[in-house]
Amino acid sequence: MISSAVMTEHYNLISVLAGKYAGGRVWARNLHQPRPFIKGGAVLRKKKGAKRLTKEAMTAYCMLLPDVLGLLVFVFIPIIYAFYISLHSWTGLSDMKFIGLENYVKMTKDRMFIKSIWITVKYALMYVPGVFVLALLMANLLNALHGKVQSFFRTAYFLPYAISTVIAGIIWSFMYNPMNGFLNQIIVLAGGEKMKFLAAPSQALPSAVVVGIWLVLGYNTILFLAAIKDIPVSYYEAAELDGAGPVQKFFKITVPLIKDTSVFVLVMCAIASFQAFDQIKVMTGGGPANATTTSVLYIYREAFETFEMGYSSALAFVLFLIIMVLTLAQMKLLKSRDD
Amino acid sequence: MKKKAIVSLMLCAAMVMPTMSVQAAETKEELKFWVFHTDQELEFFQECVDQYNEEQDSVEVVLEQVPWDDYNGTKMATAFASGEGPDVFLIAPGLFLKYANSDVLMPLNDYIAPEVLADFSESSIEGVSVDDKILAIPFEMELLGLYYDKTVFAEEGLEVPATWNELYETAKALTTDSRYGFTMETTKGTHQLFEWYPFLWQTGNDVYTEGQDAAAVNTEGVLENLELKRKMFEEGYANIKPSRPNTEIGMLCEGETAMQLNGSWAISQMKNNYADSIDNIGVAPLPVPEGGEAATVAGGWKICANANSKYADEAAKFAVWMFGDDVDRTEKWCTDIKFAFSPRQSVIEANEELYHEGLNGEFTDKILGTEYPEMRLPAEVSTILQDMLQSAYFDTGVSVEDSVEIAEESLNDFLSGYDGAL
Repeated sequence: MISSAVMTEHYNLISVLAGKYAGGRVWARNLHQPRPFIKGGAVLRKKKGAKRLTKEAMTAYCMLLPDVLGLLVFVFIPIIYAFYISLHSWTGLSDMKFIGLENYVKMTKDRMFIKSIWITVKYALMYVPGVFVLALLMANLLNALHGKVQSFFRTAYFLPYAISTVIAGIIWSFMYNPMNGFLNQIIVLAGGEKMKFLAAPSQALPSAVVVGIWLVLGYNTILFLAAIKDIPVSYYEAAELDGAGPVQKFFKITVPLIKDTSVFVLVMCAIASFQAFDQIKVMTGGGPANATTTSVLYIYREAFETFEMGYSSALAFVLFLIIMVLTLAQMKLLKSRDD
Repeated sequence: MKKKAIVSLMLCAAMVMPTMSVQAAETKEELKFWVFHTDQELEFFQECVDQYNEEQDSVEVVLEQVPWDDYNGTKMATAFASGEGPDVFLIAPGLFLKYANSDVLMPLNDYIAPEVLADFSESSIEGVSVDDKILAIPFEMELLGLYYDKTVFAEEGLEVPATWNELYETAKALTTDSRYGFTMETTKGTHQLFEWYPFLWQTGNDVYTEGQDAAAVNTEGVLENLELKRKMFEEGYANIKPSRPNTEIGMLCEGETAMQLNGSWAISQMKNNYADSIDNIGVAPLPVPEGGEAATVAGGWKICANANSKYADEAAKFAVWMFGDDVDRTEKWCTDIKFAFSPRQSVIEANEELYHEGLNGEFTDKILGTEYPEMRLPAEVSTILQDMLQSAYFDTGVSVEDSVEIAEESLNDFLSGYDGAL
């Protein structure tokens, strides 16, 4: 349920690609159809073409079938079932009791849920721009390097992405230790005062965001780098001839031409920020004083610590709607600007 | 050709025979028994299960080890939600009411012999009963104490604190650049609450009023205790971010702290993992407020049977056989496999010597007798109190008074609409 938005994205992408592929083939074949001069022959060819068309469509549908089934079993049915559960009072231990929209009414008065949404929004507001700006910056820096040096740094920046979020959470917890953590030792050496990081309600969320950014920065940098490398060098050369400086080249050529990647990075980061869970659970458990209790963490607690399966399903369903609306709005906004 | 056919037939028979014998064995009812223990504790459960399987023919008990996080997290909840819950499992007081109110726990009254029941302490049976139905069997009793580093105390010439104010002063005196004076649980959860109960009882208060119809946490004693702890965290004398859960005594043994709240289970931990430093560690009763009464908490797991199981009757028989029958298994668990007090009087009487040696003796002589059973709170009450502790301990811009007041209001709101057992 929680990852359904991502799954939907994934399946949409696959379906679109598969559709394009099948459509592309049909279009290409149609182009090469010999023109029918003789009536009878034309009918014959048409029939053959139609047959081939159906066959190809069948192949395309067969290839799509596993994805459609996956989408159905792992995305649509759980979403519908979660909604069904959300209309019940259910501890998971006893029988379900239908209570209509009571869980949704309860939610509006649930201070902790409202607080958790606010915490999630704050997380997203730090995480999404953080990843976007830093990844774009890093990609440009990497693009300026060449050969093995570039390969080395590209791999180095990508490495954190290969680390499990749980392990990363544990490592960073050690680094953030208020008494003798690595970061505080550096701060003290530089003449600063020790910070509490994850132990202070005011610093815990930004500290968790840093870890979140660190984890995915390399991956998004690679995406941007690939997009930048796709831009023909001649564009830059032409701009230089026209007297454009590096800043102008970046904003007038690079930024508009990597728009698709930018949209992808922004949308995926926004979704990921609304699903922040693993590293936060490991590093702070939602604390101190609920300062890092994101919506997903709160839903998890309601489901598996308080055993409120009905209520937590209602919370999950609302979170799903929020993510869906945000994603659609974001895509529409960015697309319309493109148009 | 005939020869070939005979050989093929024999081969087929040879292939089918083992399957038939397996099928015969599979007709035995299978009971799933879930534990979270590891190492010698897991071996103990396996030995018991093997013994039970040998002793009777009606069921085959299968022991399954579920990692601690899953046991207390998703696995148990989803297993019950999908009707695949274990037939026999272990339960802590924190979740007891959730299961009891959902009628998941099989009443065991008819399975326990009266003479065995008489061996259990009254409070231990009260803690697992709802409307006179015994829904689980306690098999261990863990007490909370204040562990301390003897060397550090000797170096500073300090006495072990006996009062809350002394705790603050001592923690202050023992805090250095690389060591906290005092460590307790800081992560929100049932364990943090477990560690807080004694300090509530020491003030002569409880979570509810006597009639259990209203909250009773907004008292001077509670405020004083929470203020003191916030001060210790703010001033850096209490460990604000312990390196591991506070159930681990390693933080004291490795010098991260000079004093640590911990349970009697820590003695086994030290014997297994910190044998070198065990002589350097002492344990004392929890500090009390000026003029307050000594109090500690008695926790511990209980065994229970799933009432919704297809084999509920057999599950109940096995659960009672484990810890509500022959005392040997309870005795072995509490005195040999680990160190824990037993809810059964005969175990303590038969092991006088063990219960009086070293740190065990400190618990038996100075702490045992002041314990109250861990509260079995509804999950909602537990969450309200956990939030209160978090907001009181950490500086969130909400004062301790307001944190307690919010908790009191929320508790009263909940109690007014709650009709389950308390």
